[in-house]
Amino acid sequence: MAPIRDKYTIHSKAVVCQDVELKGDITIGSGSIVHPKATIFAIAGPIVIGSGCIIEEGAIIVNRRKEVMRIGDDNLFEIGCRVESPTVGDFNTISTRARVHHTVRIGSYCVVGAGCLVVPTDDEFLDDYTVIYGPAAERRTWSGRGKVQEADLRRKHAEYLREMLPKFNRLRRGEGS
Amino acid sequence: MDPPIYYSKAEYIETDTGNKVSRRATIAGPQNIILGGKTIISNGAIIRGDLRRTGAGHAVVISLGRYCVVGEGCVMRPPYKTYRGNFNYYPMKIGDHVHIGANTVVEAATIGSHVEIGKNCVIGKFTIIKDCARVADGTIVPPNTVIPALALFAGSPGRFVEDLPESTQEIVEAQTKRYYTRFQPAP
Amino acid sequence: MAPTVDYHCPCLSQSTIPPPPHLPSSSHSFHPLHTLFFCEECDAVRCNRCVSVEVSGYYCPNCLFEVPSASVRAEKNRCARNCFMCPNCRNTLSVVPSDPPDLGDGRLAIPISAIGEPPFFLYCNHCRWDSAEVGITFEKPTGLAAQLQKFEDSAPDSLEFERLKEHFEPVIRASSLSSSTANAPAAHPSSAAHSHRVRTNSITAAASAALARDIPGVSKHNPLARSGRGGGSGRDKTTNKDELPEYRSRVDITAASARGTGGGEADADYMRHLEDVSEVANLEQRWINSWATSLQTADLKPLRIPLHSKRSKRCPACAHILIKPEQKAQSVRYKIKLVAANYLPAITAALPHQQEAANAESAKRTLSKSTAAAADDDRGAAGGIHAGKTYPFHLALTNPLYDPIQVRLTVQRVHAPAAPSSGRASPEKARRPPFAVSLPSSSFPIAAFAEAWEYDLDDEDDLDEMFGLDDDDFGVAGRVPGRESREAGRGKLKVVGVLEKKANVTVVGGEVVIGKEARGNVKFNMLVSYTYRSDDPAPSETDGDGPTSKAAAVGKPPETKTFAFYTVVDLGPIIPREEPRSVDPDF
Repeated sequence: MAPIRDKYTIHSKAVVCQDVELKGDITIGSGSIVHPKATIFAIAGPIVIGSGCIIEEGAIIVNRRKEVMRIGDDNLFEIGCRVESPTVGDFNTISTRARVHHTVRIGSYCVVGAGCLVVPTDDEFLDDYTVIYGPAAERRTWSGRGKVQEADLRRKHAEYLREMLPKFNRLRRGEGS
Repeated sequence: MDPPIYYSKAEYIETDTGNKVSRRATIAGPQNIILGGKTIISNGAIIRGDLRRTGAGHAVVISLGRYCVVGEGCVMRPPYKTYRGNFNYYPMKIGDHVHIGANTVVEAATIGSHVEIGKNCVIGKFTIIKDCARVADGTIVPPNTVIPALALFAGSPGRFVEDLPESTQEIVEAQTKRYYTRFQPAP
Repeated sequence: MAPTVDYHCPCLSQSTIPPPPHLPSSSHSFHPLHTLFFCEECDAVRCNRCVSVEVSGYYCPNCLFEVPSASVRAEKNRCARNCFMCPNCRNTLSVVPSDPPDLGDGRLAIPISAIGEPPFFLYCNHCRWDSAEVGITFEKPTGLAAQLQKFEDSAPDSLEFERLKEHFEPVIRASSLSSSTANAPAAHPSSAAHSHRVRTNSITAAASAALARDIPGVSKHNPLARSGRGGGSGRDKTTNKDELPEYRSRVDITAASARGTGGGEADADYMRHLEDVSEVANLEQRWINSWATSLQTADLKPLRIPLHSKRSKRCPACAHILIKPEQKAQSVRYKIKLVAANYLPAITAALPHQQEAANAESAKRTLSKSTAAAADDDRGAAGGIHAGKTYPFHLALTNPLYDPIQVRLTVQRVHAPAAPSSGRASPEKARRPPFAVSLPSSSFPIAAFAEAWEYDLDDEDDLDEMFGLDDDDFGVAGRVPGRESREAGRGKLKVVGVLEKKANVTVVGGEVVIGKEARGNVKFNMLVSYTYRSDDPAPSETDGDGPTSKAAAVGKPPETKTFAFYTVVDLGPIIPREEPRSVDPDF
């Protein structure tokens, strides 16, 4: 396949640290945060990240497919997780060192637990409120109780990072590189 | 009798107090990080001293004691929460003689002394680990867990497995000191 | 795998000769040094399998509250504060407030109050189970166990148990009275017998002692009594049994299953109409309960966290305390701590050829780009032990005493590796031909331990280890004094003997000749006897039940003592020679 041109569209209210690896056609929405040492690779198709997402250090987001990888709003990608899902809804948490394969599309309010591997061979959709946890990546459905507080925590967290990260880290800005 | 562990001299910075910090480690907000002396920060480690508590004054974000080792590819990051509606990061304090295995992520609140944490572990936010405890390789410790003194934890979620021997303190102390002496520049 | 040295504990056995090293069952008699204790009174090694254990305090492993022993039983050995376990994944639960009314925009309508909105519920941050799913909520976020108490107490099974207790109460009281008068010798020493004469596992001993204490006269209803162990209590039992009034249960057992106690028709019916397997709680989720519980996931209740205990340990022979922890639950200090590591020399084994291989590997690693994860497993592959070859090995002995000691090492004679096939059960031709171990035959000294070594060590070690065992720098000989002796030793093929003395560590070399047909592990029993200066002019019979070897009678006889103990040295598996043979190589 033809090598994809690097094209970074970073919203003026997004915070993307300098020490981040970006490749391909990437759009990062308003208020989203990318910590240092994170990686976003749009290998085949572009990656579009919505607003209010937090992508922590060591997290890897890869699009291996031709189609656009769409990540919704207010998602949290924790330390060292790896996500290749073609679509991700809103308010999901991909916990520390979890891995989600490109066969999995993620709804909203899902939680992939720390260290869980979600690597089915066939395409799959994680319904809203799916929780994956434990050594065997077991599944259950979350009642949703506490989601308002969790959303509040996430928004305040993002707000804090937008203010504090620029004080200690150099940032990337806008078009091109 | 243990063979030395060599590192390339150019790769590590040694401080006056004997701390050895890899140049290939990412140390954000170094002014907020305290290393007790003879502590080793290995290649590829990430230490987030920049995620400090808001408010005026000098804030220590991460403190490590003496003879600690932060293994290759580890991430040390202070925990966060909202308390009474206000969001904040909270400091992380680690005692002496604490070994953290490679590729482990630590978001603990406090870790005592003489604690061994294996490789590929996830130590969740606000975890409290008491003295002489041990966390086996690959353990997932969920947020807010308390690991009592002299306990071995393993699994996902990390659970109590057994009590450690009475001489754990001496063993770990000897091990961490030995590790520091073995860790030396390649000839 | 790196070579290991484990220490033998005779566990009060008459014979101090350890079992043969190769039998799998022998592993129970050998322990790492740091797990062993030392009784000064008996002058003997003790292990966790033979010491008697008593609980010196209880605490909750989550809130770390120290529970007074008086309330432990009333609280049913579980935390009576706010600590609960997730019934789904066994993580610790947190108390969380409910969400404030959602205005739809995701923003909180009002700032969350200090403690949050009632009702509160228990929430698992691992699997996101919450107690509201099973209908348990709280008005305030404190004293949860008390709030749940009424559920617990009104459960049919605990009511039944209370009733049973009431029912047996008079009988127990009566029998305890009679036991103290009629056959005191049979009933009373029961706890002593369990921990001392019958050397059961220490935990069983502690448990049975506790049982005997809690319900006096329990030995009368002990099923074991029937098989004759209870002694003379048999007759009493029959008379007591006759006095027992008939027990009538609270609920009819046939109807019980319908009330969620598990078992019976109701469960079978439930299973028959089951559509989603996740509605059934799995075995692991159910068996941590004290009682039989319902099959359904929907009925899983948060579990109070079981308490942990701090334990004192006593010598099984003389009952002197070996381990006595400080009262504070999270203190790692001990009022009394008699561990073997402070008495016996620590021994570590190493195969130089294996270390060289590992070193070369690690050197390669540091220079190239590296991840530490892969490094640890290399050792075995790189420096294997091949059949038909001869290998030197090193034993480093560290003296923990403040006086110098003289040590003598002997390979165990009884099952001497010179004729190992005799000790083996296999009657067919010697399938595991011998390996022969040579050790220095004369005794050698190890300098005294001094606190000062600790500090000197850093620098000395640096130099020595930097130039010591690494084959890479063979070319640059003679830079360090310590190196020369070893280097010389090697050069002149001085493999067996004292190789190096430094601080309180002496390294001796041995050699193992592996037979051509050898299989299995190079594993042999080694007798270590050491002579030290004794503080008190003790009588000659001080050896207790340590193997009384009068070896190494050097120094001033009246002031020295000799202690001997067995170890098992495992140098690792032998890689058999690849030979076309008709015999099944796996056996």
